[in-house]
Amino acid sequence: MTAMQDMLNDPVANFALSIADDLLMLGHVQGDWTGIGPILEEDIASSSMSQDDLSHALMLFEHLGNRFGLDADVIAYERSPEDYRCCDLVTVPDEFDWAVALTRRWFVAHWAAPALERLGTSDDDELNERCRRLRSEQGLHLSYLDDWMRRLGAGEGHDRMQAAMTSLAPQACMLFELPTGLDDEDHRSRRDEIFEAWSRATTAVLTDAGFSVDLTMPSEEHIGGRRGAHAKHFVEQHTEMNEVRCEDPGASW
Amino acid sequence: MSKIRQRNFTFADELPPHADGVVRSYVVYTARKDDAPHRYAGYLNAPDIALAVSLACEHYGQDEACTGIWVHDVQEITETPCAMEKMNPQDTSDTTDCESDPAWVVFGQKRRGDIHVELASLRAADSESALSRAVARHGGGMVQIRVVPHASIHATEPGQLIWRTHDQTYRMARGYSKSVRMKWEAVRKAEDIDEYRKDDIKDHF
Amino acid sequence: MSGAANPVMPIDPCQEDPEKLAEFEANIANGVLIEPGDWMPEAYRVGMLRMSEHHANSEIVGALPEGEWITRAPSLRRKLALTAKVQDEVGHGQMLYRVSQDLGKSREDMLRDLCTGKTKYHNCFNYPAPTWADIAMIQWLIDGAAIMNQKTLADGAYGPYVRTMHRINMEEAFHFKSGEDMVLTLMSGTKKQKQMTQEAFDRWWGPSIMFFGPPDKPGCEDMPPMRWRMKIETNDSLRQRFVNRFAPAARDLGLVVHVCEKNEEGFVTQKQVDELCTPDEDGNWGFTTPNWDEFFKVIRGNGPCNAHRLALRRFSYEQGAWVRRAIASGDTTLPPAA
Ligand SMILES: [Fe+2]
Ligand SMILES: [Fe+2]
Repeated sequence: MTAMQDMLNDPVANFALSIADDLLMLGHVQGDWTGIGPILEEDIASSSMSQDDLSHALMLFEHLGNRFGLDADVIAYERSPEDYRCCDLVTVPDEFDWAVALTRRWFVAHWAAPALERLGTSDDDELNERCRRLRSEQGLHLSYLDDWMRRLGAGEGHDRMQAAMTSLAPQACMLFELPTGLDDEDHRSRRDEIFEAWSRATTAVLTDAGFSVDLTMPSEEHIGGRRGAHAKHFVEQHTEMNEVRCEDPGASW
Repeated sequence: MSKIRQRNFTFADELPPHADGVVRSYVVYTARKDDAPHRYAGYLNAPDIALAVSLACEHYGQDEACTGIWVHDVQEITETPCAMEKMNPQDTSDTTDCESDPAWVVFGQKRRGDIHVELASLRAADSESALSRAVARHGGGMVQIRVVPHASIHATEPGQLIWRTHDQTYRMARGYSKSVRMKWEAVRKAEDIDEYRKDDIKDHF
Repeated sequence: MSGAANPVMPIDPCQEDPEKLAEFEANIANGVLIEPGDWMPEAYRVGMLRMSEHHANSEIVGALPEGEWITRAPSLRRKLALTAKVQDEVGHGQMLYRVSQDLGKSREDMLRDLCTGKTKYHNCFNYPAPTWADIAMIQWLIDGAAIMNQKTLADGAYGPYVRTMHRINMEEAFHFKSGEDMVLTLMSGTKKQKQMTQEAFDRWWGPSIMFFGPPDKPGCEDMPPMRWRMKIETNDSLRQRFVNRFAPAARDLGLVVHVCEKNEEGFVTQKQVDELCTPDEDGNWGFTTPNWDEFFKVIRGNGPCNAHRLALRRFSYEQGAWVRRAIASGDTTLPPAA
């Protein structure tokens, strides 16, 4: 069996990949906004967060790379699409609508923080230490994004934000689909705990800001990105991400 | 290329009207370590100071190691005219501060063109006496003294995480110097590399 | 990246109070820096405003060609670096708009004038970046040229601009090193990578030579922009220093300079020229005189990407309007934390 398959068969690795792939693809699509955001200052701040997300994904890929003898970039770029564990929310097209981009990031950040806390209770101290650092930096995103959410609850922003939330909510709930290989009681109850934390935290902000969204746990039958059944937009983003690498496979860049 | 950037855009003849509303300008200072003085970093525009602080963290706080950020509205500044020569205040009849007066932070500029750096703080009843007191105590060797009401400065929390702990060398020149040098050495003579590197920027993040 | 415009002096300095003007000029001649509270000729204020506005515009538009490649960067480290680099350029724009803002023009007005083409930005951003190697070339040659220019500008006379230039240059150092690292990696890579890099070099060597602007007019050292230290070194001298630094480096990397020629049948062919071979007796390396007609054509808005760059900038401006309105309207202050 190859190192890649070893990794894909490992439950902890699959959980780590679900976080890392979310952050990778989120950093990838949000990074595309660098230089064209609505306010120069916000453009800069948002780009800092994209860099955090990409760096955090890299740190998790590095950990997996060390553990399974793989190169972090190979894990990040070269899996076939069905081996990515990210949820479809992260690559949902935003059509240059900043309300969608902000809401997308906000939903993911609220998931990533408790998920990292969970991942950080593994048997592996090195992984736990990484998760602790990542968690504290994702915490910065949370307070920044919550602040924006609250600001946009009144006035002209309200309807746009509400529309974005309503349209993203079903995909946001798919953040809680159990990734391939994690279909046991233990993971199920961990997942429920994270869902609990996520809906508590998001609902608090939503209520404060005057938004309302229906957030429910997805049904088991609904198979999505975490089990490799990705939407077309993920595959397109993955292809785009690999465009240069594929021009000369194996070359060093 | 991403779809946003490939799009063909069509526009109305006129731009949409100006946005109404208040956008203020803020001055940002950063400290490189705990207890180090706050040094001028730059400006930014924001609708209010709370947002200004978080925007400052994500911009000026990410340029180099940073343990604290101060932000205040530009309009809070009271300062001396910028002198041609360094000041040499003679007045030593300075009184002691009254604890019930408001606090002021004193910044100084050493030479024209330099940035303003935090020097001290003091108490005074109003901006005028704060400034004259600041000049008498801290003006020596400065071309300009600035006072800002302490209460108008918004600061990050002590110990707050600003500068990220993950590897930041990808965004700094020193993250590349070694590898660049090695790769040049494979194709060029050492003296050519040194000649070429004379034009490098020495002072960088 | 980016560089400042050659300042255009809008107002005749002769209209100023001669005594104050003489004192101002004497100060500048003595190396004294001008700070915002000082008296300054109206022509100086407007000139500095326009120069720093043009510089800021260039940073903002300069973020667009490279921004196209963030999603396609071939490794995570390169993706991070490119995102950070483009972000820096936005930050440079923001800091430079601030300098102009203090000299009397609001950022909103500057962004609007940029969108409608009323004000300009640096010419080199009107060229396309069709491959990843173009990103390497832009960061090596264009940021390299910008650094040469901006290092002299950091020696200028206007305090706020000088402070901003120092801070910007601290970041430019990273852009340049990252560009060098990419060019070096590609040129020590596969045959395909080398070819891609040579083609990108062919696209960017010309614009880099043009980067410093058209040849100087005789006597420019005594005209206000240089007399007032808004501009420190002549275009031609900066250009020669650039060529002296980069021509031998490019040669050692294995890059060659091509010029386009039409053959008898009218087909464009590329001819290798040997200007990257050796310097003359003064140590100056040769270069082909740029096609200044093309330069002015591009400035007038007829370059390969002018329309596309401006359209994206305008779209961004219009698309973001509701966010700016929403947070500036005053009814978005934070409700008390729960
Ligand atoms: Fe740059
Ligand atoms: Fe720049």
